[in-house]
Amino acid sequence: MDRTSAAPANDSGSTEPTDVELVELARAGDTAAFSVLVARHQRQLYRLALRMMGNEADAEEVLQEALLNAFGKLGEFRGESAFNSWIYRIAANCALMRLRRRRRAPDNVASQAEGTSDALAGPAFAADGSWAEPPSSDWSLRADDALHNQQLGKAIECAVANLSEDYRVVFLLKDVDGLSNEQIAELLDLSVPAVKSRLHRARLALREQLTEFFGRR
Amino acid sequence: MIYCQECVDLLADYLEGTLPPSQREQLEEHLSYCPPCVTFVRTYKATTRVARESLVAEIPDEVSARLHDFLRKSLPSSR
Repeated sequence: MDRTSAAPANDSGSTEPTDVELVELARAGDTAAFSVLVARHQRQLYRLALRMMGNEADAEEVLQEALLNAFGKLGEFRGESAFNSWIYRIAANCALMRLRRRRRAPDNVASQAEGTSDALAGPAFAADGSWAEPPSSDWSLRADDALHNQQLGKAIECAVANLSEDYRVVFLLKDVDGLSNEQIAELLDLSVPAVKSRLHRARLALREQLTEFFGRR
Repeated sequence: MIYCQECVDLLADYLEGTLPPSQREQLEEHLSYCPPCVTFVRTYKATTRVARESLVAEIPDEVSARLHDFLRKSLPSSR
């Protein structure tokens, strides 16, 4: 998790209570203390929920459900892990349960159509391992210059949205939100090799999309 | 010696810094004489950069406000 959002340590001279201190207060019924915890961690929790659910409305519902659950389970928090890891896990579980319900819905045509996305685009190679079609367009510097360009933003947004959920969530959590492979594996109940494989394939597919985008310009 | 396909397959671990030294050396040697693979690595890395710059999500103020309102109504009153 992003350590910069963790509670300030008291030994730094800050007068703000630590997460552990706020949890103790909240356990004793101080809901204002819980609100402070929420304010500290809501940004990361929202990002996680948004990545997993794919839309703002569902992300907001996951956030509400997760925080209500977390309040009810404060007695179970033992401080063995950081509070943000603990609440992150609760939010991920809420999202996963919603996603499973969504997938099981009989009229969920879109979900059924997503499949396992084995047909992700990527580079092609000859039998001897050399390029079938060597990449010739180095658009990497043009990309850095074009980051302010709305069309580029829309292109990557569209490309990411077209990834299947399995690949999209891993890519966003890793490359946009900065979680480690191990954190993602734990949150999504995957092995680390599975996370790495999905991440790499997502990047390959997105790279193809961006190559097409820059090829048209 | 590694070929271009293997270079691509090892790329994620290479950029993460988790390749075993011997594989890292082989990959870097390959990049020293393969311009297409160099192009590929640059654009692979740029893909992540573009996504990170374009897709950062912040919690909208109205979502935050609704969240706190929801908790105020749903949680028991403070003792």
